[in-house]
Amino acid sequence: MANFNFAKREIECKIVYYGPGRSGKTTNLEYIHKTYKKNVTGDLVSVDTEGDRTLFFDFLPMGIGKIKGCDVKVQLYTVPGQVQYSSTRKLVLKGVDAVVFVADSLEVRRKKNLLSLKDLQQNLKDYGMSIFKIPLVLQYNKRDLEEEGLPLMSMEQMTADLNRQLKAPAFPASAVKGPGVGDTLKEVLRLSFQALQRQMK
Amino acid sequence: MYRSQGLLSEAGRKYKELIELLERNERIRNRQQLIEGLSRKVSSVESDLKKIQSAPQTPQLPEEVQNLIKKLFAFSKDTEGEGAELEGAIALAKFGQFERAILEFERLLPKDAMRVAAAKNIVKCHMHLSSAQAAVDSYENWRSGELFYPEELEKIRVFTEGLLRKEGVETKLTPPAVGATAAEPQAVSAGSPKPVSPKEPEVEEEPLEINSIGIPFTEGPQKGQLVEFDVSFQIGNMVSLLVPEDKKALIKDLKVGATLDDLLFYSAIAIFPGKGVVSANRPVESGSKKGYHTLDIEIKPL
Repeated sequence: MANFNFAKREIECKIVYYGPGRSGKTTNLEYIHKTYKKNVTGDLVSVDTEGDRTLFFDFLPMGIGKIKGCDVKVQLYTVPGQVQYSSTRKLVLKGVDAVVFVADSLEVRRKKNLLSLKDLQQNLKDYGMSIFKIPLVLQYNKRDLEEEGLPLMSMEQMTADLNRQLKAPAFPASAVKGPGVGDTLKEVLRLSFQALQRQMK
Repeated sequence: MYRSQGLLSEAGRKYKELIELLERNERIRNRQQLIEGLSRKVSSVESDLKKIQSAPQTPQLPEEVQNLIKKLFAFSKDTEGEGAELEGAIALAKFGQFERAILEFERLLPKDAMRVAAAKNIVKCHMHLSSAQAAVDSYENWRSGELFYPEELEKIRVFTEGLLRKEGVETKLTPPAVGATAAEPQAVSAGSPKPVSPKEPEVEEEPLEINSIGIPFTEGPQKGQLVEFDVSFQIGNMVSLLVPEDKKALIKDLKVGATLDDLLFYSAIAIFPGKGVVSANRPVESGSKKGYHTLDIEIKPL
C-alpha cells in the first residue's frame, strides 16, 4: 500500500519492474532516467554484477506531482530476473503498489516469460495481493529485434500467453531505443494514481 | 545476436546447432575451420555462463548502497523510530550484508524492546558468515555482561544452541545465572523478527499467551483503523477470535489461507507486531454466542 506521511504531506508509491532475466527491466529505468530528468529526484542506483545483470535491484526515485495537496513520490525498482535470485525478487516486491511486467518478445524466451509471470503471481499471493487486482501494465519489449532478423512472438501470441485472463494494458516497446517506455510508465502511473485516490477516500 | 542480448544459453544452443549442421554436410567448404571456430565460441559462452553461476550470491556492497537498503526496505510505519531501525538491519541481513547488519543490530542492543530480537539476529548473522565460534562468543560476552535479564539470556541461549545444532555443532552453552528458565521471559522483544533465509528453516518459539489481536483494515467501513478482537481460545500458535455480530461484516471477506499482515498481538506482558494466516472463518451456530463468528488465525513468525 502507498505510504502516506501526513506530517510531510507526502505519498510514496512503489512501482516494481518485473520479468525474466535480460528482458529489459534495467534498460527501462536507464531510459527513464535519461529522458525524464525533470521528474527524476535522485540517482539511478543499480546493484548489479560485472556482467551487468541485476543482482539485487535497481532503484530510481521520481516526483510526479500532487494528489489532494500531497506530493507524490514514486519509487521505481527492478528485480533480478535470473531464476536463482527468487528470494531477492520477493524481498524487493514487498510493499509494491503497482507492477510493470517486462516480457521478452524473443520466441526463445517464451517459456521464461510464462515462468516469470507465474513467479510474480505467487509472490504477490504470498503478500496477500492478487495479480488480478494490483495495478499492472505489460510491456512486450525488444520489438526492434525483428529488424535484426531474430524470430519474435507476435503481439497476438504474447497477449494469448500472458494477458488472456489479466486483460491488463499492454504496450509494445524497445527499451534500448525508447519507444513504448514512456507509454508504459505513464499508464502504470495513471493506474497507481487511480488506486491512490481510492485509498485516500 | 543472442549473445549480445546476454542470452548465453540460447547462444550456446545455436552454436551447437550450427556445428551439428556442419558435421552433417561434408560438402561445405572450410567445414573443419568453421566447426573449430564455432567450438571456440561454445567454450567461451560456457565459460561466461560458469562465471555467472559461480559469482558470489551476496557480495559486500558499498556503504551508500547498504544505507539505501536500510532505508528502502524498512516497512515500519514508525519511520524514524526503533521499529524502522530493526527492520532496516533485518533488510541488510536479508540482502546478505551480514557484517553491516551485525553493526546495526549491536546498536539496538541497549534498547529494551529490541534487545532480544537484535541479539538473535546477531547470532544468526554470525552463522550465515560460517562463524559458529563468533556466535558462541557473542552469547558468552552477553552472559558475562549486564545488558540482558537472565530470562532474555536463556531465550538467546536456547535459540543459539538450536542454530548450532542445525549446523552439526553440539555445543552446550552455559546457562545464565540462577533464576532463569527456558519458559516465558519477563522482557519480551517486539516480535522477534528474523531475516528470511532460503537455506535455514526458522526456529520455532514458545508462543506467549495472547489476550487479543488488533487487525488493521484496508477496506470497508473501518478502513485505515485497527480493530481489536478478543481471543477466546489458544493452543500454541493457533488462536481463535470471537467476533460479535456488529463486527461480523469486517471479517466476512477474510478467506481461509489469507495472510494478515501488520497484526498487533496483545499479551499480558507486551504488545508486539506480527502476522497470521486465516485458518477458519465460521459462524457460531448454537449456545450463548450464537450469531457471533469465530475467526481462527495461525500466528506466523515474522
